[in-house]
Amino acid sequence: MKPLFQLTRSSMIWLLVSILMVMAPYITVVPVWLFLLALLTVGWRLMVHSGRWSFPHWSVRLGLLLLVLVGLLLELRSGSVMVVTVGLLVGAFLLKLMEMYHRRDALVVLYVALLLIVCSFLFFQSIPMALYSLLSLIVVTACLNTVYRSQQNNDVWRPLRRSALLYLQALPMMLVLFLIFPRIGPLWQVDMNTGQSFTGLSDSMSPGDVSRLTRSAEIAFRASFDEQLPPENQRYWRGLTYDRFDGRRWTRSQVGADRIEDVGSAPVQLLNGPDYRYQVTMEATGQPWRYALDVPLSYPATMRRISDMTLQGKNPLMQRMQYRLISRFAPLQESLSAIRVRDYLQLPEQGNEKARKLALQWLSESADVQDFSAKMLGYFATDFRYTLEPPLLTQGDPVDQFLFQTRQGFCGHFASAGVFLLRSAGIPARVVGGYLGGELNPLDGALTVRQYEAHAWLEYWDSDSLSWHRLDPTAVVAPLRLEQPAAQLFGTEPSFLADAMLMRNGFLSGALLKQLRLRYEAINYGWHRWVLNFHERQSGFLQQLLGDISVVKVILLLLVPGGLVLLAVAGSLFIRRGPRKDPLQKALQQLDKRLLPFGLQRRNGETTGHFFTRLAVSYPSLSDEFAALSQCYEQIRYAENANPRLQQHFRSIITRCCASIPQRKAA
Amino acid sequence: MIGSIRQRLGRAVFNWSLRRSPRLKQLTLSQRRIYIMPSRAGFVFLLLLLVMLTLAINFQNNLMFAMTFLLASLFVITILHTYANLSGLTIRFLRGHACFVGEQAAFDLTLTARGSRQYESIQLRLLYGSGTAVDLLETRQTHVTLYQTARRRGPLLANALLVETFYPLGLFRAWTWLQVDLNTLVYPRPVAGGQLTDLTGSGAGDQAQVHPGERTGGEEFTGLEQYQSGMSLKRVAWKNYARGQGMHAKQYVELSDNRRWLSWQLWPELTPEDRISRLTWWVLQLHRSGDEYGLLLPGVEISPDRGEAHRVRVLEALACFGLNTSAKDASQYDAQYQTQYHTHYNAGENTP
Repeated sequence: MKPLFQLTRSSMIWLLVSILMVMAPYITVVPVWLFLLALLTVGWRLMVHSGRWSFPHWSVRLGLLLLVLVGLLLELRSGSVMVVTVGLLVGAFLLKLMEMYHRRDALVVLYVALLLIVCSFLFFQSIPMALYSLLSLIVVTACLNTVYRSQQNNDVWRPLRRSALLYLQALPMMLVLFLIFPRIGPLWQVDMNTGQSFTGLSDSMSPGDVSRLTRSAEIAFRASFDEQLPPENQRYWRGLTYDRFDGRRWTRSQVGADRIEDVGSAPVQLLNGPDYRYQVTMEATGQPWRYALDVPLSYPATMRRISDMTLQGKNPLMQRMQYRLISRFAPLQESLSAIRVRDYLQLPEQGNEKARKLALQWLSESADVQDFSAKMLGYFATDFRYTLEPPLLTQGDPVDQFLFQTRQGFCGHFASAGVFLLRSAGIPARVVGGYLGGELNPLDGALTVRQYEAHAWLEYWDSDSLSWHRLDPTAVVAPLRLEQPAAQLFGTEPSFLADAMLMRNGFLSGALLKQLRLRYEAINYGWHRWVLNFHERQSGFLQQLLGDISVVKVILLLLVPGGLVLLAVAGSLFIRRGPRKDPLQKALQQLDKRLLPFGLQRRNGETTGHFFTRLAVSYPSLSDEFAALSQCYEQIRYAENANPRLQQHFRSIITRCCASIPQRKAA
Repeated sequence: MIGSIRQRLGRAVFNWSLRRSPRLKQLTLSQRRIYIMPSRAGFVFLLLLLVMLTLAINFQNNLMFAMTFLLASLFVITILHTYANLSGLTIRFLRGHACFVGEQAAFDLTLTARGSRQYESIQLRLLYGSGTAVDLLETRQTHVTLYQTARRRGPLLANALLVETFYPLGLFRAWTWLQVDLNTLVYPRPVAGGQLTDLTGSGAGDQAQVHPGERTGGEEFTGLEQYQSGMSLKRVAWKNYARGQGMHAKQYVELSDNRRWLSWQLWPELTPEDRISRLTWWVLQLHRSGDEYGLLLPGVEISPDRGEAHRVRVLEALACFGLNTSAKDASQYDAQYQTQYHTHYNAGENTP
């Protein structure tokens, strides 16, 4: 009985291959020392396999187990719970390798391998990664197959072919299940923190921060509009507003305070303006805010719209998500309470005196708030420069230094100084952080917004019209920034896209490559929308497919394709295939057909040898051929010579003979 | 509790499947005989799927959903593959080989594939016997010998045959129990003892019936005779043959009475079974040394002779002596399955 359950050497090799394949994606996720463990265990196993070492003593295994546990506990202090959990799985998986003798041990390892493949989707979800996981799945299944096959069978590739065939047959049913399985909400709260770090805006901003983002070409989010796109200079994606200034940094006072109020239900007074319907696929940011154009009128129930008209999720965004919005482009009408007016006028007690003086001077010269802002913009328009590498503001009064000395800055500097000036003059104002622009992909009509399009601008409250107005000083300093993609504007600055060399060097901006890149992004976007976020589209999709969804229809949808697939597979497995027609017999029949008009066909019970000799007499010119045929036939039939060339030879001579035998008696 | 239900269920299926299977010389496995259930590994796999589904739901991760469903579909597809790995297989029972008590009785059978279908890793095992695994890939037919321990002398019917497979992924077990129409004879266990002198010339009272005096096959060489097929090769006059004088056999005449009688009466101090065992041992000894020997048992008498056919005749007589069964009577062995089944089934279930 025993030999049946021991692992064969070929399945051990397959096992090691599948372990390496499963482990590879985790290199960037789990602690590095786990990979040292992987090298140790796989190496040790290989030495055992080659017969040089023996299995480790139990004390060694216990020691390794303790080391792994202690290491992971230490990891728990710094890393995320999820990484440690996966690390535990990986550790157990590797240690099991050291004591694997029987079929059951191999099963444990392979089942954990399956679990690890599933868990890798927590960290990676790109198309190449999904394909890679499918490949690992096929290899692991092939390995499972080798565990269950008998030892005599040494064909190395057969398990792989078998496993690929199984998955091919399983695919249709998987698709049906994927489409109709109801996506219910999480059964319990899980920690989604996978220990990633994110590029993007943060909840505090000092004027230079935004320019740091221009080093990166990572995608921040994508948006596809139902109807027309907003004009290029109106694509202001609002993320969050900063309302507290400590002299250097802007922060959000509302965060953590009771001030966060859901005004979703409160009526919003809006002037008439164009409405835009669109869908956003936002990359993980690790932050609670979600991006939206201007004033979002309609938004998913999982979000709240807070008083500054930005959208907030319930939790930090740890996974890519998709949401639908309707936004209106119009100034928001709002009467501010005294408390909020005070908040939006907050400034440090002192400092930047020159700026304050300038503001007061402008105020005395202006008729109203509009006039004041026009003066300010005029000031910025004179002699300021828009640059990615502004000089550092080191002195005590950074606003003064920027306004009167350096006069070079990025959007953050202008927004920050602008709000400072407005508040100094008693006009409520705030800094807004978000993105400006987006690259249109003509293939799918979606806008791609990248990190280098991060932007900061300001909003002020006009007490006459009781409404908020957007003011973007960058628009006057560098009007082109609104009209053309950031990539064109900053193309020559050395720090632009410093972290994305391929895009910076124009490598990916050449015409053909740009086309390819756009195509890739379009596919990728489709992948995000239709696969990764299918749970948000499922009901709509099913409704489109089935009309009204009913239980009967869903069951039919499950059973009919499932049944058809099973039927097809069963057909291919069970249909009794008769023995294949022997090629020699076929060739002989062909000859017979030719001979029939002459009455020379092979008689019942006549041996081939006799048959060919008889033919050689009837056709003396072909006697050589018939002799060769006779010999060839005997070689194949009786000497059991399986050389395929012999068969080919036989058929070619038959064809030659057929051609030589005249078609009709008369001819 | 669940274990005992499972056990009882398993036994019920086993008995039922045996009842459905008459003893046949040859049969083709079809859906009427093949049973299929998830194996233990298959149940664990289902559990694993549940874990994956929970993960997918909790993390709202559609790729996890996709992979879980892919594996679930794989599970379903495997049913067909495992089943197809048995169905259409033709088993032909050929013959059994005689053996001694305590040895492994061998039974020959052939497996034939249907059409051009391929079969892999089919495990065959006789109840209480050892198993073997066979493939039918390129070959359309394969020959298998299965073994079963012979516990008592006399006719032996092959136990029920288990044909099972876990192929391709071990998630399902397809199996069938078959009644096997194969039998053989088990010779008594040979036990050494006694002296050669006990046997020499001595013996039975009715020795008179045997013609005394000259008998061919003695020790005294008297001449050559024409060789006839069937004569012992030991008697061939190889020297003459080498000289090209044709094949002749040396002729001996036995002057002294060198015939041995293996008699029931020889060792009255032994129990009947021990006597049979000792007689069996002497049969083997005398056959090896080329002596002539005869057998005398109450009611059985085989006159002295030598040769393979004689040996088999004597051993058969010893094997069946005192048993009221003929080789064809199987009923007693069927009853034996039923009583011993319980212990067996648990042992058999250890296979993963």
